[in-house]
Amino acid sequence: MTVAITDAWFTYRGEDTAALSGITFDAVSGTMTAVLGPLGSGTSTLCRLLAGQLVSRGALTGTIDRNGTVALLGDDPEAQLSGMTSHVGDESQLACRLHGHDPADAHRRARNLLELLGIEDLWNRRLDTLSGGQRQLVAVARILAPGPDLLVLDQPAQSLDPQMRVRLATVLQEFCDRGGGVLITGHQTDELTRICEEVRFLDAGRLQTATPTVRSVGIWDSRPNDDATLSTVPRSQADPLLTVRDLTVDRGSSRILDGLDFDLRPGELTSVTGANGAGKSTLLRALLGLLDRSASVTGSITVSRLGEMTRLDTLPAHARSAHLGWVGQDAGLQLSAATVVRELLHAAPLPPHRRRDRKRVRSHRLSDADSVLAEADLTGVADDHPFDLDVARRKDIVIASALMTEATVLLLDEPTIGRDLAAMNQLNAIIDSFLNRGGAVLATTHDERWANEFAHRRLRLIEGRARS
Amino acid sequence: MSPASSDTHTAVDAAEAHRPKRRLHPATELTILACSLLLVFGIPSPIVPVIILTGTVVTVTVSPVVRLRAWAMTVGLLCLPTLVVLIVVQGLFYPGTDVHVLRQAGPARLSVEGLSIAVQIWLRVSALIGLCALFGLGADSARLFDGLRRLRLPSAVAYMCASAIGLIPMIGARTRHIIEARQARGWATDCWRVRIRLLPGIVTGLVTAILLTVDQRHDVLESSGLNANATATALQDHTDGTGQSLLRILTPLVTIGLIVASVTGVLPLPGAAQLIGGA
Repeated sequence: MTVAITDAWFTYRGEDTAALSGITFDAVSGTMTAVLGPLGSGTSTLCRLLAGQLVSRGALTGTIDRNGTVALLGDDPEAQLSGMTSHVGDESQLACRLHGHDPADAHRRARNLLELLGIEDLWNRRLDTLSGGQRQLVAVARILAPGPDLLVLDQPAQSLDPQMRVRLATVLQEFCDRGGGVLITGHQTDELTRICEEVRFLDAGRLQTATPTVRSVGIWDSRPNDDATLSTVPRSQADPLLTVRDLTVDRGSSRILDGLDFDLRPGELTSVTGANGAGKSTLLRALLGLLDRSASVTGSITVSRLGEMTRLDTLPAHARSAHLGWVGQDAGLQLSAATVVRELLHAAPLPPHRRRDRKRVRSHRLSDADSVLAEADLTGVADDHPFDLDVARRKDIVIASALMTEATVLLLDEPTIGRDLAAMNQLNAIIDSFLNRGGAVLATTHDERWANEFAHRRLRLIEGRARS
Repeated sequence: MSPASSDTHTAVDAAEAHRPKRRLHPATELTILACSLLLVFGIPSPIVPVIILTGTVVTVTVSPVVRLRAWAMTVGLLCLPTLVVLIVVQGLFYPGTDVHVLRQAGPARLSVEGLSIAVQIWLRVSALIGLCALFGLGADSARLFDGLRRLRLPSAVAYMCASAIGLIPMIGARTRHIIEARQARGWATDCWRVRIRLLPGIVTGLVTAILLTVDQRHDVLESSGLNANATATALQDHTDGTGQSLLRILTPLVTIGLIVASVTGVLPLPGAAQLIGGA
């Protein structure tokens, strides 16, 4: 037994209600266990409790016996790297070296893990050039390399493509076979939770004793459903809102996107899937004109509004925002205001107006913000700091800020990350409402089930080319 | 090992060969940095900062790690406004009475003494910024951490310094992201007027992000083993040896010797006033 928790109660400082109540749980060597629960159920708190990171953050009662080393991978995709290193090779060796391993041994362990995870060719890459999934795998390699006794992974699969999840599952299984213990927590079932010997459910800080169904406890099942067909909603025959022809992106000598052609029609959700690092985020950034100078973009991007065609590829990024609303992969990077409502109020510039009309324009903006807050179900947290909310809610704020513009096309980068069943329903409701107003949505995702069930059209990026 | 993985490793090794291997140990670099700054501020002659700046430019030009453009942008952005301020304040409005006036227009007078002080201060500040930018742009937190620990600083102090240097690229990246986010919502951030208008929001977001990131990074490092082992190995591989150890001992000694020689008059280097006005 690596870690045994007996009747643990934990309350964060300044809070009245306990985040965890009466938890009794054993993380056993050689086994993989999953603890799933909806957002706010306490899964991340349980992870931090096991890793010993809650000592100074609140009041803890009960006993926790640790008979070995515990390594934790947190749930926030933006906070999984150490910030100490610049290259993948250095980052993946970091934990080994901090634990005092010989440099040659640290090097060998890190290399082996990157190879097992299928990302050995990233060894010399700068960390700031990695995709979200690649970043997550490097973080996994870092904490796994020193060979901890217990590996605690909070939503480890959220940024990974299905093939990579299967690969990670194999690596974790081998780790368990060598005597290590793995605890996976999250709000979704996936390829990793499927191989766990035991799946337990957490609800409002309490571990459930009965065996409920996944849906009854608010978990989203992201595993591909072979029986599912493409969204049954009829495809639109209307003229496209956005037409992309021969879109090519080169970075140095490597071609990221190779002559993409696609249309986005009003009322349609188009999903973009593909392996980690396939260029999904690059596609969205190319449409927005947000790629840096090292990338060369060719091809045409045309938007249609009220019968008028506008070439976007000749416009600067800020001018494209009149047509395209962008929600990036890391929501935290797009948030800067102190409250949710202020984020929306200052999301976009006010329309041109005379000084004497300013009061009226601002009042109009406030009423717009109120209706968008209601649409995104954010009214209850309007005065909260965006960083006090979970990853899924932060993403909702960025989606809401995109809705504050006049954009007719929404570009969503991995909107399904970190969502439980209720948050997925919330996302679908926001998208449906936007589509019903005649908008079009292009969303990248690794969630094959969501793409199968809700997208009207699907694009799969393979080696820079789009396959329908 | 399978042929595929062998091929991959060969490719990785080939790529790794492009990384500079004959670079000084960070402790040696830090020693040279500290001694150079000591010389710049310890010897009252503009010749020293000029020599140091020239050496810095040459190093940046041949360095495979630091990009000349990034270095020049950093130094230019910080040094040019300093030069303008110094010339206006010291060069044109030097308060002394016994001065050699080169040119006069109303209350402003360009004097040798004012100009010499402006040039001296500017060269020193430029050398300071140039050297720090050279080290800062060519090192990440782990490199600084290794260097400071090799110089026998306590791990906690080394960690704090390393975290601080790690904030510099983070602030740059965060600022770019915030500006990008604003651009994507219709703000014409290429225009300086718009940027200035957005500045309060950008700074607020930045401060929050920094505080959060510092906390999160510490958690990540703690769970990766920071503080777990007092005898942790270096975080990166560096070249070191007797030659560099000797260099780390001799450089401070030579520096102190040069400063003492300058102060006692054994090393008579011309001051800024002599060079400008021939006084």
